[in-house]
Amino acid sequence: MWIKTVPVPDDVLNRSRAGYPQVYSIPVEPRPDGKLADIVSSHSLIPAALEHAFGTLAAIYAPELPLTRPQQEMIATVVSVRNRCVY
Amino acid sequence: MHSHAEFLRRECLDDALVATLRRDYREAPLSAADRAMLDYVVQITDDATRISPATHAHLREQGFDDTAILQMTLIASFFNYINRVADALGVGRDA
Repeated sequence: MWIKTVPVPDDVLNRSRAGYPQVYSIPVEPRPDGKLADIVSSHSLIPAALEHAFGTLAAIYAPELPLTRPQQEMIATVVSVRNRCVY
Repeated sequence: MHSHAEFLRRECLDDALVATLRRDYREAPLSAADRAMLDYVVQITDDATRISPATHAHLREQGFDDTAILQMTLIASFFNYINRVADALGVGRDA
């Protein structure tokens, strides 16, 4: 990571987690070592951006929406491959 | 790209499918609907200006309603956003 990151306040994390069903593997959950995914902490200097970006992800993944979980993740995978995204 | 392949493996537990999607989604054993969906999100990623009402008509023929089309559009666009944030900030790179 080429910019500084700072601790993310719990209230920001809680609000960005709020929309996700429990069974989803989501980036705003801490890893087994207790740290946040780098893509989440990369937003930490602007906590409102973190909250709204990952809150948006919860909204577009909502289980009452038409696409299945595998369809959602196929899109994410294929787009990321197309962008040659390292992460 | 590896983080979401991992999520996909956990969600549908088919390593071969994940590997094929990562190599070339056009070779994956997909339903016609899923193929249309992935063609659409690839076009969004490459050049969304080439998408037209005919593109949407094809998605509707595959059974997707407007909510589904919006959802796939937003998911694809979100990952275009997150890919660019990650690569611009060096997320996942050692140096």
